Amino acid sequence: MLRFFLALLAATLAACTPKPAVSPAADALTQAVDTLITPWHQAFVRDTKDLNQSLERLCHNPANPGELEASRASWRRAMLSWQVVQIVNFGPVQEGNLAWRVQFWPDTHNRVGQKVEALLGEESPIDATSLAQGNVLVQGLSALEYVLFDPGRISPEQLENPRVCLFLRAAAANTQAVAEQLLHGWSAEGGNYRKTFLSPGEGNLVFPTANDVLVALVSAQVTSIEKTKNKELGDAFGGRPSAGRINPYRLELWRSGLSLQALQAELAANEQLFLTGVHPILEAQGHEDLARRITAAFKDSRAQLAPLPEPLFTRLQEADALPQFQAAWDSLGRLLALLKRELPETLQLQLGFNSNDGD
Amino acid sequence: MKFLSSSLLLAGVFAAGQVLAAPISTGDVTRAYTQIAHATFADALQQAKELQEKVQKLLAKPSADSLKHARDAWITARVPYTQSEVFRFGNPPVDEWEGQVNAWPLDEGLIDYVAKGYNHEMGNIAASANIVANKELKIGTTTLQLDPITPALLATLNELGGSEVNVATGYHAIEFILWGQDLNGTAVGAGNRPYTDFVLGEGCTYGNCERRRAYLQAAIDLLVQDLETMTKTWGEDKNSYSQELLRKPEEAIKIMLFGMGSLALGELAGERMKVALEANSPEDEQDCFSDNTHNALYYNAKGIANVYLGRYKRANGSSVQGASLADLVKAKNPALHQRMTAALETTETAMAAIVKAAEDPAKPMKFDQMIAEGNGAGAALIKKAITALVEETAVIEEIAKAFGISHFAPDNADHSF
Repeated sequence: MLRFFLALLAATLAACTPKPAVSPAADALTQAVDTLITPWHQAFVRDTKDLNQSLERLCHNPANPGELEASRASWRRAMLSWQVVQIVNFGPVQEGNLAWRVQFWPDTHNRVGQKVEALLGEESPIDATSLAQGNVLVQGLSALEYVLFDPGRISPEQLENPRVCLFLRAAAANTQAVAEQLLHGWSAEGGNYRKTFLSPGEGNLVFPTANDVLVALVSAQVTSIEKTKNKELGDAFGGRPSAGRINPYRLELWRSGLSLQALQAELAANEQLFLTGVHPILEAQGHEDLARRITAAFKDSRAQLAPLPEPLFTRLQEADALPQFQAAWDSLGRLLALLKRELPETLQLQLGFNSNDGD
Repeated sequence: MKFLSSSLLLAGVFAAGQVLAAPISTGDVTRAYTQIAHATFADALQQAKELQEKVQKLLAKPSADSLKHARDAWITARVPYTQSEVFRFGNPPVDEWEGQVNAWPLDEGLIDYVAKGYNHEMGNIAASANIVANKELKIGTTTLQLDPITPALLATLNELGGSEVNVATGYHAIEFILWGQDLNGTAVGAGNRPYTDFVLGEGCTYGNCERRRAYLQAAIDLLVQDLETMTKTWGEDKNSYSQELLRKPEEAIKIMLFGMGSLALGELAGERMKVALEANSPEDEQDCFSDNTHNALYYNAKGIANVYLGRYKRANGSSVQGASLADLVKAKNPALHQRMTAALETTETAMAAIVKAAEDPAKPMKFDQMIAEGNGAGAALIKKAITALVEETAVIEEIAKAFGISHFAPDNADHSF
């Protein structure tokens, strides 16, 4: 009850004082775009460009083991960048299914590996343009992970096969092109989705109301954290840590051993996005308690993910580690319950269906 | 939420000479929903029994004809079943039961012989277990006895070795036994198992015909049992799930919308169409052995319309009809109802176009050909259906909003340990 009166009081005060130029919601969302979403996209362009250049050096000097390691390190940076960028599942990324062109996962049956092998075995020309027009399996970072890290594939002799290098260069160039397309879509010189996102209202077909913007942002976070919990963490255990049906090949990024870092990077970025884009709105509307509880839940999930043993691929099986996995799972569950139920109810947002609904 | 708990006055307008129509309540809509579910599962049961009969004829006298009749019966049996899938999401008794009945995709090497180069899930230790060929099976440190093959035995073999693609039972296991692997990739043709795979004695092909026959018999018997259970679940017995739903009609409305949206977007548009199309992967098509995917898609989508419109056309041609979500929406927001009807029609048209192409008498293009790399016309057919389903889901979301539903997460979601 008290909260209600405080809110009423705040509303009355607001009515008496001159209207601020920028509402807290608009300010928070502007901050989210300018200090997080745009820089994330810029970093992804930079990292895919670096990867492209690393692979160029590797292909000039395939016998040098240092170049292979440097390329792998570049690939890891690009993939971690992508883990963050992909949280933003609305806007330019939806044009032409760009996300799958960067990463195809889950891939339980190794469709990526088979398709890459098929392509390497053919005689057709390989270049970024032809890749971009074809199958998503061979276009991006997932295909590059297969060639650079698969235990059965990578060797200096392999790299002397000219088609392997043609492929590496083409897939990296294609990934860079996708990264540039995404950034272009957000920027003022391009599709200017920033403006669409930040100016809801009549006449804005994507976001007719300010609430719609918040729905997009919160839905993206829920989708991302659901994926983190249920797929990236749960699948390799057969659905949940207690299921006890362990298959490490169901881990995301098992070849590169980046599974845990990817989880952590994605969650940390989600936390930033919440603190910058949503927390101030909750506070401004008088929901400090919920804001505090979600903040604490993010912190707890981050703390629970931090000590998980690496690499997950081999250490999933350790009985001693199971309580830690269980604790991380439970913590993410509590975070999701707040984001999926309390937050929408409190801010009167309707979260729609997402691709995780269903199987 | 207030709206849901109160009855809706639909036709409650007094006019001279007119009888006041009863208002339609969420309870009425829930009742019709449970009746449609019951009729759909009862039809699935009936058709499965007919499949069982055709299987018995095939086993009594294996021939190209008796095999074809069994395959045709399987395709017919899928018509009501695929319409029932809209009841799966949101209704725990269906969701928990479904795995044994309709799990997919599956690593078929678990069941029977497969061609060289067979592609299975990475890390699946039972991917090539071949139950038909082995009376004993060593998995890790345990040895399993696989003789005789009974419905109960098969039920224990699902998710063998911890992998969900180890599917020993249900429609798709039966489909594989009737058709065999589709080795044509994205080219013309379905699975082409010879009827001699079911011949006893010298004419038996690929060995172990006796066990293959026992497998087929056990799998269809189990399917019939499972469908009997599910039909009862939706019956009028006072302890049935239907009665439970009728006691909480507001929750039931939410379940209906959740089922519709989950099937339309994540499952149908996503798992069943987009993945196969984008990866040009025939192994990701749903009815991949029989090439019956076009019908599965069509009737999955029809199931969504059935729930919204509150009507179901039974296998015998009669209709089950009652108070519907459509009635509620029409009363609340006629324009929204019109948009939903239009969205359902667009989906129906797009799905019908897929069926028409797949069953073209002169030049059929099955789903696995539509998804082939470079088949622009095929991809266009599928993309149209995906777009229609995405639009349809957006309208379902608006309907939920009109009903004051802010989220679909059940109260214990993400809290189950």
